[in-house]
Amino acid sequence: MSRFAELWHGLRRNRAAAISLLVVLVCCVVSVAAPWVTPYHPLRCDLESARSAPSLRHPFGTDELGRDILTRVIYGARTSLAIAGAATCIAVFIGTALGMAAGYVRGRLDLTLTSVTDLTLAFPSLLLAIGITVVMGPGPYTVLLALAFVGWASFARLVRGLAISIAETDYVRAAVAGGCSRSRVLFMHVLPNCLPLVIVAASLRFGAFILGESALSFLGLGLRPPTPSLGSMVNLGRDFMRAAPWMTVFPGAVIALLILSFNTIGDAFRDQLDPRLRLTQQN
Amino acid sequence: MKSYIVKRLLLAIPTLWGVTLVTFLLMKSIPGDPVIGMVGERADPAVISQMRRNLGLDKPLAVQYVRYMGLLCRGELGRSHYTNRPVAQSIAEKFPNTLRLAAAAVIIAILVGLTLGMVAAVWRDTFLDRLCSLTASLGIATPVFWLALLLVMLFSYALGWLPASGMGGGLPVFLVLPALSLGTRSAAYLARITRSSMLEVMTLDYLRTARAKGLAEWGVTMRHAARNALIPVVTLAGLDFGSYLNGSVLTETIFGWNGIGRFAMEAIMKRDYPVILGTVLVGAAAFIVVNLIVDVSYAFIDPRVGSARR
Amino acid sequence: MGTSTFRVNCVWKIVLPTAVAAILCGCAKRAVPPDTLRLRLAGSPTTLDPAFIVDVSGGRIAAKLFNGLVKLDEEGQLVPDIATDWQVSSDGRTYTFRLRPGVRFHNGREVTARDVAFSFERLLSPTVGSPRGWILDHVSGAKDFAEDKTDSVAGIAPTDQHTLTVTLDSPFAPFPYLLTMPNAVVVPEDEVQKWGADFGFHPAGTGPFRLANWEQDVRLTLEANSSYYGGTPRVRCIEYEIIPEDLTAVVEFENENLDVLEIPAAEVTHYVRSERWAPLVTSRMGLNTYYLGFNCQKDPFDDQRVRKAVSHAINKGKIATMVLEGRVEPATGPIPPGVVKAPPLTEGYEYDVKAATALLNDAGLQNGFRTELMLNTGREELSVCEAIQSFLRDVGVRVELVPLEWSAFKNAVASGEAPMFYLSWWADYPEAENFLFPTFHSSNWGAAGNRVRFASDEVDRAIEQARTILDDGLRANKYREIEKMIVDQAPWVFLWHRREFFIRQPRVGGFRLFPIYSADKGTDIFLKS
Repeated sequence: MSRFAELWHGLRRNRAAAISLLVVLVCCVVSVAAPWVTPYHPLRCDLESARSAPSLRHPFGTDELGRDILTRVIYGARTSLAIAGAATCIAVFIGTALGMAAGYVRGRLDLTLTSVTDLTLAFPSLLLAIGITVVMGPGPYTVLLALAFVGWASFARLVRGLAISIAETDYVRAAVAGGCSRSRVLFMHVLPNCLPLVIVAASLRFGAFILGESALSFLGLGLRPPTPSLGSMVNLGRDFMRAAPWMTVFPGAVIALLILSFNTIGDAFRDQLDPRLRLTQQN
Repeated sequence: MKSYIVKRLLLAIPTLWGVTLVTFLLMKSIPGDPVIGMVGERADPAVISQMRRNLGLDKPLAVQYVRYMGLLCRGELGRSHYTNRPVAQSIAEKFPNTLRLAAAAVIIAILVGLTLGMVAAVWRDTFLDRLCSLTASLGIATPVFWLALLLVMLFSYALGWLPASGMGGGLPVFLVLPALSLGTRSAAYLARITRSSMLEVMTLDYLRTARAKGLAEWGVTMRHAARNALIPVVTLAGLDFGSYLNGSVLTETIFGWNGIGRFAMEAIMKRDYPVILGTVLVGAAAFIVVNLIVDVSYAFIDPRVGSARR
Repeated sequence: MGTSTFRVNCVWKIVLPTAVAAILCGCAKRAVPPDTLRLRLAGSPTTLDPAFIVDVSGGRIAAKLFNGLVKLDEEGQLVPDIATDWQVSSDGRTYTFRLRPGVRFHNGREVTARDVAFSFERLLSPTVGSPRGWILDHVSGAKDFAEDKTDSVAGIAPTDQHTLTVTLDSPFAPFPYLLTMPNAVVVPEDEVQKWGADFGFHPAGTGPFRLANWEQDVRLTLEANSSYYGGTPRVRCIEYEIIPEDLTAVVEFENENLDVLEIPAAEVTHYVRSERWAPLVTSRMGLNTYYLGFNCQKDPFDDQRVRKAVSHAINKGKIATMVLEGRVEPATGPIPPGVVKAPPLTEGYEYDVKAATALLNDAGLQNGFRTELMLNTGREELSVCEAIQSFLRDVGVRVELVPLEWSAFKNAVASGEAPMFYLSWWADYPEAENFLFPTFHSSNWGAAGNRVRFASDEVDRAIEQARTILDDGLRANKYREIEKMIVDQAPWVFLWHRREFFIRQPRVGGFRLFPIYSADKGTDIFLKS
């Protein structure tokens, strides 16, 4: 319990992280409260005002069907956050678990897992996504699965590399020599040492997933249009980058803001976990 | 070490076989076939079934698979259903382009990423750190095509410095924009990973010890901290390089780069089975090789790490 | 200072000089070759073997490499190509083509009637397996030959070196128009035998250009054929650059690396309104119809009233002006303007929500219904269909949009899986039969063209009758009658016809737009010095 308290205090001290946390919270609240907060309906087409530049009526402008971009950004943030967030959690969980196992245990298990990882990395994600869609039908869960399936492998390799080098450090060897069981070593020594990097990588991966979801949806492998999502809004405005740049700039800026916030929070977590780790190492 | 490499290479064979099998099954289980795209907008059923027969698509799946395996054993990759060109020839034309682009992108990523990450770590918690982190975050947040199109609009259209598309017969100046747009995200990842890893080490006990021995402070910090960062950096760079070797569809599309990414993607959309299988095979082999090199390099980076001894 | 300074130094030592070099290069613009026309292709042609060309890129290039018996002019009229003239017998079944002497293949050999016969038989040959054999479907003996029952086609007879007789099973007035297609061109037997399956990569024809170089997926270069029967083309070389991304192509055009560009949809407004570029923009109404198709055999769209309701519910004009920025013209029927010389007999379906609701009530669907609209993934398709979805929601039809990737989409439509789908039909030849027979005749269900599975005995008989009418004027009137019959049953929602926009550099002269992409032989265009 005190550990979390420490974490919390540390976070509060770090101004940038505090701001980021606030940003993320605000985004979450706003997107959850979307139906009450937004002036327009996200699906309501108003062809008369198609492609209008940002104005008082439409602070973020309108898209090619006259839908208010601010509204769609808010709704889109909801979708993007949910899907990318869930997919990141799954990918991190699976990847870290398998990576630790492979990197620490080595031997046959490592060889097998490495082959599986190689197989997953090598496999064209598009084909896989189409396959999942055929089996499960398109929709948010398909996108989730496809993203997670593609994403876990890089975590596994990252963590594996770390686990290999951590396993060779003196204190781990000492712990093993002292009679520590394998799982204890894994959870008490290897995992905490991997965590900082995993957190950073996770926050990066989250950003990739926001855009990955849109690529899949665009191909009909995910969310059904006209459901807004940040990534798909950016994607669909691609042709209009010269003629109506606000169609990509605003959703893109929100994506950037979210990623930046998550990264800063991730950094802060990382920094917080660090001195803790140093202390346990010295003990 | 040698036995480890041999083991991994031997393991590569069943892995590659697994890849072809899974790809084959997946390919055939998704709806659509190449013929409907080859016949144009008006085709009577007789023509369609004749074409299916010509391509061997009417045979049972097992027969088709065995046929394909037979081809592979003879060292061939078959011919594209659409163009009838040998897949191996097409890949031989496109892969070097992808390789060049991948190498350039990774080099940019490493140079820029490591620099940013180191600066951020060394001047931790200052304005410089925040700036580097911000840049890195932007690099990740920017969609690849956005960045690519922005680069094209800025450097090609507005400033007229760099060409917008094509490979220019190999001139390095054509490589700049595509490599930049591809490598930026990688650079951003590397920057953040570098920063994180270096920070982990920069407060360690042995640093104090090393300093006590009288080495120049900076040298100590840098060398040991960089060492710690190397393993995740190399892993990540390897992963990115491997994925670039499989081709990056967006970059290749926007810059008209003749690589295997676009080739593979179009094949999937058109269900050009031999091309799909061929590109997946080559890409998988590339991944396996790159990952193996990365794994082997761990031993050189961190001398404490031997090969799998357990 | 150690590694960091080293690294920093490295970066500056490499990056800065490269940047400087690039700036001094000013490499965005390449040298403008004075005699080469540079064009853009969005995708590589799959093959240049006329028997297998089904894509637009292939057709465009084939027009410059080959000649057929007849070709089209800018108005879409039939004009002589290799055939100087042709006679039709009074019963309309026998065509006698007189070939001009002195037309040579790229390898120097003179074209004879035997070559034309060979080319046609190749199109029908079961061993070759061309998907465009239907062009010669009406020729006597074509079917038997295609089924391998005979050694040659009875109806194709070279009567002497420069005369060819083609006999049809029954009169088929559009026949000469079908011969303008890029598949009905003349190929040299010796080259075909020599290259076999690789003929598509070493095409040899009689055309104004020959293939000089083909870097797959990168660039295709044609060079002028000085022994072309119509005189040497006015440009020495045509270079097709393969640029998949629209915006990149626009940048290349503005950097003067392309001479002519088909303006991508998003940029049309910009160029049309720009003072500098507007005079260099050429446009013409394409021979196409965009439509919303139904599966007319499945509930609820087997009921005509439901189809008519949907037709009334969509405000085509609004979508045309606001979403598509005036690049399209609302359609009233399947036949695009300019194809039939007689005035249309129907005004199609006006935007009328009341009428739509009334029809739905009539059909027993007062509470509306749910359905799926399938479309090919594409940014413009998505926008259009979202707008349509919005209009249909207003009348209680709850449409779920199902974007599908290319193969899956084609499959779903051909198999009848799609209750509603968004597609377009583009002319292969400028004759109304092209918009009526494959699309609405009951023998063509599915991949053969009638994707809506429309079946009407009346329409079938009318189409079969119309195509036997040799008099152009009478036939035109009949086509309009058929069009009215079809529109009355609303198997499609006839959305719009799309206009094509092209922009050219000031140095390009003689640029004309042809109604069909495969009619432009590239002989009129020239470059001012």
